[in-house]
Order: sequence, then C-alpha cells, then structure tokens
Amino acid sequence: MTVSVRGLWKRFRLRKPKTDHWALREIDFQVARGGALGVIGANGSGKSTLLQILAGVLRPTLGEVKVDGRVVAVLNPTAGFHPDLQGRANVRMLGALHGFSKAEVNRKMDAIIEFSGLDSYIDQPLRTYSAGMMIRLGVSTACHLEPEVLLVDEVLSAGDLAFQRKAAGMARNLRDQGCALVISTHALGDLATLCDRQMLLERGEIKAEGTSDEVVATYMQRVDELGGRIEPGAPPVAGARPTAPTRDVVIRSITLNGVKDPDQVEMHSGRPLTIEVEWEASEPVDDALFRIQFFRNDGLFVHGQNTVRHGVQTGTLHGRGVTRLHYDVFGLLAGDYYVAVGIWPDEYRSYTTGEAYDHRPSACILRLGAPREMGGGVAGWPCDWSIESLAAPPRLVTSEDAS
Amino acid sequence: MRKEARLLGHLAWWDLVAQYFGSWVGLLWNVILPGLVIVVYLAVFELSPKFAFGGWDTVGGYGINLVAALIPWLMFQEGVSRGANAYVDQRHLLTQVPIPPALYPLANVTSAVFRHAVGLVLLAIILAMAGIWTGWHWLGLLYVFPIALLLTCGGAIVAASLTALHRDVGPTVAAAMLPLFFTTPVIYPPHVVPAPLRVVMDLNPLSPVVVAYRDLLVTGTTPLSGGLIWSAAVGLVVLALGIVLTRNVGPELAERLG
Repeated sequence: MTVSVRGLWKRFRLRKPKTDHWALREIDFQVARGGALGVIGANGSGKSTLLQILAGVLRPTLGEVKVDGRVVAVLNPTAGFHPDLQGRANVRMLGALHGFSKAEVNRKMDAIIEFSGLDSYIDQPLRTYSAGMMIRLGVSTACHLEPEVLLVDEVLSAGDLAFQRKAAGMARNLRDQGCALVISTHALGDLATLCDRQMLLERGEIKAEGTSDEVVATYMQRVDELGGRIEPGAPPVAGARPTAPTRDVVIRSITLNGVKDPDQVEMHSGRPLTIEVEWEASEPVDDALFRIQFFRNDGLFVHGQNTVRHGVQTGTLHGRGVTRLHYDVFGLLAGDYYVAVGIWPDEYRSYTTGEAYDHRPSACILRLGAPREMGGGVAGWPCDWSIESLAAPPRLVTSEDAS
Repeated sequence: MRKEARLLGHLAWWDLVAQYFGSWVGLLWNVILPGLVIVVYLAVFELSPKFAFGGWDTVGGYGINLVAALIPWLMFQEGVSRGANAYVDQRHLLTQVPIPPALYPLANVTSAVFRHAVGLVLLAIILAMAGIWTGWHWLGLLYVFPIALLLTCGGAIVAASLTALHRDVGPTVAAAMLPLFFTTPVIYPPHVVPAPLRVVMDLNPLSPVVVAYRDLLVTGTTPLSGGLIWSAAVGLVVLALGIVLTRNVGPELAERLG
C-alpha cells in the first residue's frame, strides 16, 4: 500500500483554556498505488490535520502512518512559497526541496508555467499574486514534481472554473499513471469524478466510508441535521415576546413522549409525538388557553397549536393537572426546535398583551432526526410516487420497415 | 546526511537570494555590506586615530584590530539573531514541506558563514596591502573557526526552538546582543578591562574566539589558551542543548506556528 493509516489519533494541546483537543480519533484507511481517496466533512472535522500528518509536517499522537514514495502536498493556498521571490524562483525552490536539480526543474518550468496560465506573471514577486494565482502556481508545481502520493487540501475548488477542470484532469492523469491521491475539498462534484472512494470525517472520526454516492448521501443528511442544531447553552428562541406571568397557573414540568429531559434524546420525524404539560393552579382559573409552539434555531415560527383552535374547553383549573397535545404523525423534519409552552387567560390577550398565567418561550428543545425519504425543507408527510406513461414513444423507422 | 546537507545548501542559497531579491544589486549585497562595514571602520579609526580606544600593544592600528575581531562577532550575531526567528519566518515552508527543522536556523548560520568568508577575504586583501601578513598563522583558523561556528550553530538552534515555544525569546535574543557585544573584547583590548569586570569577559565564551582571530590574523601569534577550550566546551554544551530542544519542539512546530 502506498498510504496506510492504522489507529491514528491526533491530539492538540490548547493553551487557553488549557485542554486537550482530539482532532483525529481512531482513523484507519489505505490508498493503493493509482487509488484516490476523497476526504469530506465540515470545517474543523479533521481533514487538514489528516493531510498534514500524511505530508509529514505533523506527527501523529497515536497510531501508525506509512506513506511510500515521493509525497507532494498542496496544503494551503501559499503552497510554501516565499512572498518576496518571483513565481519562477519559488518553483525552483520548491523543486529543489523535493529533490530535483536546477536543470530538472528548468526542464519542467515551461510546462508548469503553461499549466498555471500565469504567463508573464511568473516573473513577478509572489506577494503581487492574487490567492487564485498562488493556488494555480502551487497546484501546477505540485502536479509536475512527479508525485507518487499527491495530497491536496481544499485548494482545488478555489481556482477559477477553467483551472478547476484542468487541475482535475491533471489529477486524473496522475492517478492513471499510478499516483495515489488524497484530496479534501468542499466541491463534492470534483471528488465524485476523481475519487473511487470517499471518507466522511465528523469531529475527527470517520462517520462514513465507501463509494462517492453513499458517502455524499450521508454527508448531505448530516448537513441537513447539523444545520438546524441548537447547541447546549444557546440563547432562548430569537424574537420571543416578553411576558409578565401572573403565576395563577404555573407550569411544573414538560415531557415529550414521556421523556423529562428531551434535550438529550433524538426523536423521529413522521412518528407519534405527545407533549405533556404538568401544571398547578393555587386558585381556581376558568377557561385558560394552552398554547404549544415550535421554533427553528434561527427563530422561525414553524408550527403551533392552542386549545381554542381545537375548540377544547379547559374548564376550571384548580390544584395539579396534566394537559396533553398528541400528534399521530409529527411532520417537522430533521433539526432542533425550541418548544414554547404558555398558559394564557384567552386567545385575544395571548396575541395582544404579555399577560400570561405562565409562559416558557424555550421550555425545552426537541431534537428530531428524519430519514431522507421524508423530504427536504421544514416539514414532511408520508407520500408515494407513481409514474404512468400517457403515450407510446415514437417508433423508429428502420430500413426493414422501409422495404 | 547527504540529503540533509543538500537541503541545507538549498535553504542557505535561497536565504541569501531572498534577502535582497528584487533589488538592483541583488545577491552582490552579500559582498558589498560586509565590505562596507570593514571599509568604514578602517576609514574612521585608521584615518582618525582620535576616535580609537587606547591601550593597544599589538601590531596594526585600532581599525585593523577592531575589524579582525568584528568578523567572527558579526557571524555569531547574525547567525543567532536571524536563527532565533528562523521557524517563525519560515512557517510557510514548515507547514508544507517536511524538512528536518534544525536546517532552518542552520541555513541562516550558513548565510552568516558566507558573509564571514567574504569579510575574511577582504581583510586578507587589506592586511596584505598594509604589509601586515601573518602568513601560516591564518591556518590557525582551521581550529578557531570551528569553535566560532559551534557557538553560532548552538546559539541559533537553541534560540530558534525557544522562540517557537515563547515568542518573547526572539526579541530578547536581539536585545541581549548589545550587552554581549560590550562584554566581548571587540572594541577594546582585553587587558584594559578592570579586574571585577574581567570575570564577566572571561566567562563569555566568545571572548577567547575574537582574541584568537586577532592573534592569528593581525598579531601573528598562535593562540592555544585554556579560554578556547572553555569556548569549545560551552559550544558543545549549547549545541547538545539545541539538539535536545529541537527533538522535542521540532515535531510540534507546524502545530505551534501553523
């Protein structure tokens, strides 16, 4: 194997606050000669750390990393170039550091310049280059230094579209000639065409590994889920209307499907959901209104219900009791939602004043997971597709028909 | 070792090139600047002896004695001061290409050695023109120069590692060069130093080195003092400390500086 990684862990010691951060945990994979592995994941998932370890500029904390052959890496947009030197001098320097003589680099120079498309800019100091130009020179140099293992970290998608295509074509050629590729990018389309296998990293762990289709599908689902996440300690729902509760009826507890601490549990979209509100009224209260609302993490009000809408008479509340709202199929899609619970004197005042008996704008957080077939967006319902042909396709006229 | 030596050569070459890249004179500044230092010092102190520090009982004037001592001092000062910031200055490469880290400060030392060699050649020409030629005594540099180099390399890699650990070390090293300069007998002869301060000068491992350069190149005597053994011992200890520090700090440089 050209690249072999077994039981790789990487720890960073953070100074303020003084803690250990495990950037990679139990990473195992191999890339053979002529193989290509795409590494995808959110920012901070450990992709760059992994590539830096493969390049040999970072040391693993635990585990074994073996990389055979000439390793050429483009790990950042500056690609190791010196800002004061011209592009041409930088190519010579990088070539020399990768073991090429001046004559060998000079022989490759024309091809590097032509591929990068920099033309006369090659004789300008690097500090005058745009980020895209630096990336073009870095990728072009790396591809021409006869790599046996090419590592590219999130720079392929940074050049212009024409260069992206050219670079992907060159990488494909190198792969076909036996070079092993490990590429990290957010341009998932490039990876699908370049890499036979992909790996999804999440918080330093391999979340999925396999063919492009499988891993990208898992990644997209995770993006949907994580995009709506409410982190612990997040502020209450944005835009919640302030109330001055009179405390005539007090909310004692709230459970979701019988779970008292629902923040810790992931529930499932498309299944039943029961919300129980336990309350206590010290004095008799007539015809109170119960309202339960769901807000997305960005404050969007996505759904709500109250007892008046359903024509439910709450009667006289006195002592302790429980009010339930039940859904046979709860249709909000994957994500985290603030659950707001309020007990109000009547519907009119619940919209116009802050005079609630009790009101919890962020009573608890509902964490929902949903299978991909539930659909995209905010809400989903069980559904079926059917396809029916309405007309026969036009018949091709062959030479036999003509005769 | 051969690969490392080749890499060191490349890094030192690019260090020499990059410093004056884009200037009209370019690489030649590496010859012009040491030459200018020598010419200006000689002009000031040989043509205007009033400025000179008194008490010399050696061959040659104040200017020549000063320049002979200045050449190893400048190598040490440049090598250690620039070496201290080597990892920080070269972080663009450190985080991209795996190269043994000690090569970065050693590349700065190598450029300082190049300028030191230029200085020696110019001094040799000037001494020959002035009729002060010590002949075979120059061969004494074969054992004095390695001691100066040992101190410079050791100082540079210790300072580079410590600067990677604490950024305050770089400027501290630069600031420490001034008191170190005045406790080294570069601008004055050693015997004029009063007894209480003499201990400080004698403990300074650079003192025997600059005195030895002066003895070899100007006076024409062969220094075989215990002071040089002290310098070599300090140089070895500092170099060993540098190697230990680099082994510990080196693998974490990319994450410290990246």
